[in-house]
Amino acid sequence: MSQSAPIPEVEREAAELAALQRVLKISRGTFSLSVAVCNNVPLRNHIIEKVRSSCPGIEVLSVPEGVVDVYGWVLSQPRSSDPPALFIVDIDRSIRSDDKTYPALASLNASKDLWPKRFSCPVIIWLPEYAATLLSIHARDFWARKSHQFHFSAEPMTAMEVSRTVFHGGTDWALSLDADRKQFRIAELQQRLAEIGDSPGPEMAPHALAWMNELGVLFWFTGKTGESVAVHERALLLAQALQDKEATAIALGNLGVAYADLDETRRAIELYDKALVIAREIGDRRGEGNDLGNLGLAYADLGETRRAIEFYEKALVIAREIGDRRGEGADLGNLGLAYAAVGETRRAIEFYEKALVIDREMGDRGGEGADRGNLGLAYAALGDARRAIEFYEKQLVIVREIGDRRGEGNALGNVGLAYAALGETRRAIEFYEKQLVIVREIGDRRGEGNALGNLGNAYADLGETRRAIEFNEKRLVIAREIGDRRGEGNALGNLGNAYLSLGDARRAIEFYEKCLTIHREIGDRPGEGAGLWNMALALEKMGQRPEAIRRGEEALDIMKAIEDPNAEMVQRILDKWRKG
Amino acid sequence: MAVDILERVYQAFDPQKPLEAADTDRYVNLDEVRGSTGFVQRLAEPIFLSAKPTCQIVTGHHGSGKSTELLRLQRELQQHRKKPFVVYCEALEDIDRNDVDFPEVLIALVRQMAAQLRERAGIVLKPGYFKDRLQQLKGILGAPITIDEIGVDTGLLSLSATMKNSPDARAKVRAALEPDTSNLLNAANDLIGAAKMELLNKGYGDLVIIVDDLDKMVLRPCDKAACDTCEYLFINREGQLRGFLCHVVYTMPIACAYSSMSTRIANLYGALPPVVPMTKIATRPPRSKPYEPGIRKFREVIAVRLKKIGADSGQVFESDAVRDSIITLSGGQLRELMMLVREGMGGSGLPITQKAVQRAAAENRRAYSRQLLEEDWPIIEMVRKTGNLPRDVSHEEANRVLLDSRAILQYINDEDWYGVNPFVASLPRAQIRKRKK
Repeated sequence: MSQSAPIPEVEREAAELAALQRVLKISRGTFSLSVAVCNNVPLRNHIIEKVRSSCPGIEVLSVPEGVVDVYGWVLSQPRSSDPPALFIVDIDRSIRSDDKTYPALASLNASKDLWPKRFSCPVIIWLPEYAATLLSIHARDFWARKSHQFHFSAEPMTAMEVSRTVFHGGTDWALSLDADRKQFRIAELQQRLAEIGDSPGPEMAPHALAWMNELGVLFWFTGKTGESVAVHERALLLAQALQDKEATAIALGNLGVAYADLDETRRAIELYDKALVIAREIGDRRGEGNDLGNLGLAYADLGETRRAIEFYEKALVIAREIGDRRGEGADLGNLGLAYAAVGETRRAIEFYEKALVIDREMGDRGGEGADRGNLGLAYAALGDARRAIEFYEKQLVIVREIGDRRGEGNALGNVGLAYAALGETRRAIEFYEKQLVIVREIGDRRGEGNALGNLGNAYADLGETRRAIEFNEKRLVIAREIGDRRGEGNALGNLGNAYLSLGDARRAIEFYEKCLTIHREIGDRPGEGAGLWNMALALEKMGQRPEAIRRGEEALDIMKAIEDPNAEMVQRILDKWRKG
Repeated sequence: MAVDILERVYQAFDPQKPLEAADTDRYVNLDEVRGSTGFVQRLAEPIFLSAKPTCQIVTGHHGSGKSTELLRLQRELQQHRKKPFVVYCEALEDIDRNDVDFPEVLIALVRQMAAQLRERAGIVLKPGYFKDRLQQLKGILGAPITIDEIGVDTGLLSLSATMKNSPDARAKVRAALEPDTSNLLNAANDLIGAAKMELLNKGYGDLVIIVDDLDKMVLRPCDKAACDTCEYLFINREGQLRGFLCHVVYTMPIACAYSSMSTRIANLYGALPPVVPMTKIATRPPRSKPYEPGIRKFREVIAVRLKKIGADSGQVFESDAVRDSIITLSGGQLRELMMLVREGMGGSGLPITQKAVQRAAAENRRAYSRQLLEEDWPIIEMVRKTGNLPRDVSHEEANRVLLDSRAILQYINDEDWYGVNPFVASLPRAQIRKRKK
């Protein structure tokens, strides 16, 4: 999934921004220490620019990498005599995770009493979340001195998390073929299936089922989702005709996965349920575990994260019971994703690390790649984009080694997102373009949509709104073509954001309206919440506050229900609107 | 002329070579004296009756005639009206028996299947998914593995040869294939499916693959799990061994069928593996006596072989007594019978004398006395007295070794029973070594 940017970044931080400006005013001419947490460099710079334009003369000092004595370095910088405030940014570049003694933090702690003596203005230290956490632990006394804290969070990054959907019957090698050979393989399979006919004898029946499965997955991958469903349905009919319960359960499961990818999640759940009944009936514990895991993924898509966690836990119990270590790794990874979705990032990291241990033990390189990618995402969510990139690079090595080109595309996209968070948008674009080349090469239409969406967002960050609109329109076309409803919703949301930033709130609202319809149709609760909040912000901008509050309250209800980590922030802004 | 007959007899009694199924002149049906009535039938039936691919395991003592029976199975199946194509895979052509794991079994199976399809049915299988995988392995091994659109068998040949001969290469290939075993299996099944389509077009029926030689794998502790290599292959890898989408028959070391593994094997593979047992030439202990019908059958085995080369018994054996003493010493093991004839010829030339037989017996006794340990003796005594093995876990390892070395032989009549190898039976106990600690 691309960064769906459902909430225009700066507006939603209005309450925090107002608080920061108030503190600067109150504290003018006297020392005060504040920490402003912001995970996203462009967002941070945007906010700083905004503050500086309303309060000219603020000094911004960017600490170079490797500085240990931050206080001494700041002191050594030439300054105007009486700035209204001092912003210190980029200390995190000197906090390296490879030195657990964190000398820069220790030195900062030791300098706690020196600051008030030399500075008579508000000092605000800007840090990403992970660095703020480290500061609070390794520079306790310094942290205790701070009088204010602000939190500017970028919208949660829904990058390409690697959930472990279980396709029954491995098709990994098929998915790793390049686009031409995929087309060749599709033709070969179609020809074989045509030759076998609809009622194969016992010799060919198991092969017919396997080939239909592979063909269905290849169709899905190359964006022919309708054909994919049709083939899986044929497999289901054949399995039922043969009264082969095991094959029937497999076909039901695969059909479920196909519908899940068409974002017909409820239908997918029905199919998984049927498959689950059969798996239990024939005592196929492994199949039962697969179906439970897929049910978890489906409920996670619907935003019912707690329910998803219950399913993953049941699947985990089975995997452990039958000694299915691979399944265990997959279930742990999925549990991590679920905890990440409700904002429990540290807990998510614990699960990914457990999964990583198992996958390495089993030599499951594919799983290992997924774990490393997910760890990267978790660190990115904590604002540690550099560490995230380290994980993505390890993931890249693995996916290239095992020839998982689709994984390579995802990993490249994630590296791009991390650079985007570091403010290196041009570099991010380079990675998105590499991603685009690979996904086009292997005919991964869904991935192509994601890459285009990422490019659209990057150009939006660069302020090239027209170009952003172009990319999102291309993305919209692909999403509609392949029936990727979720992608369609994201593209519409991004287009809304783009028009809003061009000042065309009316048009933005039209897009949000369409986007909202889709999220509701596919039962995507997180998307629905974000969509409603976007509407609220656009309405507020048009001066329609009562309507904005009404939409905002609807959004808040959903966000609370799904334990969206942003609920608190939305609540605060709503309170402010009600008062104002 | 005498030299000529020497050669012909020597070749007629080749213990290493199973009888070709077509070699009906020399085949003697031993079912009734083995007690394994319908061994072939028992394996053939599920293959014809099952709607799904079957996976069966057979076992038997070295030299009991297992390979001969499997070749008969191949012939029987192929003569059936359903006309299956039966691949007879001699795994040791591609595998080092000291170190066997699933990836090599798969490669041996696919390679020999492809080769036999090419030779006997004119079907050339394209490498399909193996192409990409083998290109990668080429890089890993730095070995010239050529695989192209010509056919999968030639491409796999250089890989299996490299793997068989170099433990180092084997380790590398396994490490590369291990994470991908299920994909590898899918790739094999894709080829099997393509093969079956062509076979059907050519008027054949289903595909059956008989994987012989796995019973000869050396049992040793497995590096990967707390069990021996045989248990690892047949139990831990069961899902993969059973994963081929065609009928498969594997041979398994006999020792595994007589251990705590046996019930798990029965659960996993749906039946206890049929055993090709020894021919009964003596009755069950105690009071073990020569069993005349079995002895007659072995005389027949010798006679048909001599007839085929135009020799008569008098030219080969000094007397009928000499011939019968060889039969008694064989313990009902066909291969041992062949070996004793050859050893006898080594001792005296033709005809074989009583003295030469005694010399051969002494050699064999010496070989067993080197192997047996003090702790084996109570077991041997128990077999001698009761015809049974001690059935507790503490003896399991020793039982397995004794069966594997054929110091104890297994017979089947109405029931399973055990006998002591004639060489061991005549071994004075004083010669048994103490266990080395």
